[in-house]
Amino acid sequence: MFCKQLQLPVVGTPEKHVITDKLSLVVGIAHLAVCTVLLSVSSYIGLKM
Amino acid sequence: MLYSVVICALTCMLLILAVLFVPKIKIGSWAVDLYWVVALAGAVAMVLAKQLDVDVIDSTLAADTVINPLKILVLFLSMTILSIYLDELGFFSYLADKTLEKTGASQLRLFVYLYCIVSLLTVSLQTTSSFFRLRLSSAILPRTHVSVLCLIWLPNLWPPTHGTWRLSSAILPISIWPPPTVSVSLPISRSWRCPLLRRVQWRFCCFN
Repeated sequence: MFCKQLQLPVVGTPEKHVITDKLSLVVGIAHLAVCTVLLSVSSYIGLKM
Repeated sequence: MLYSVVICALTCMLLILAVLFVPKIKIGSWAVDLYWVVALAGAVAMVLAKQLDVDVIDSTLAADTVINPLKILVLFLSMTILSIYLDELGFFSYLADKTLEKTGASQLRLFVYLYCIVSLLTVSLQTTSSFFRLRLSSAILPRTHVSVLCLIWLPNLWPPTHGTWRLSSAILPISIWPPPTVSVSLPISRSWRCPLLRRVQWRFCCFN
């Protein structure tokens, strides 16, 4: 349906983005990972969602 | 039953119209978002029309089940805080930049990459995936002037049980079913010049 439009090239260039506070990012992602795993297995180990 | 369906349909319709055309109303110096007012009005109408008993609402809110709305709200808010934290650190902008870097000038590739990233985000963040999608989309769109706005509308995961996180929902092939749909496709160069279309796009984005 959108094949023709999708064939057109992207105009513009991406900006460079640098993450300065990598430690906080690692902490955030670790939290997210732990939350995700716990949410996934909570019903099996009898924990409340 | 008929009244319930009518009220529900009317609320949904008004909600969509409000989101698209009158997202906010101003009362003096106050600006109020209409989306929750419409939803609340629908709920109140249900109660006033005696289609919903107040006791049922009370027991549902206090019920010790996985679909307790308050629990879901807590889950949603907690994950939202986590996503705001990551956004503030520039995680989504970084993901957006990396995606655009890898795609080069191909929109088709951009579409496929977005599909994959959003699928993974949806897998890991089931309930707040739309929030993440919005964040990612808003990070990507200002960085590029693609001629087609190919926002990916991955439907929420198909949960094996209502609102329950199950291990099976973390399996990618199941999680990305049903497949994504391109729900908005407007030439962005044109719509960018037209505030109304731009607003419609973003409203669609937010609405999802």
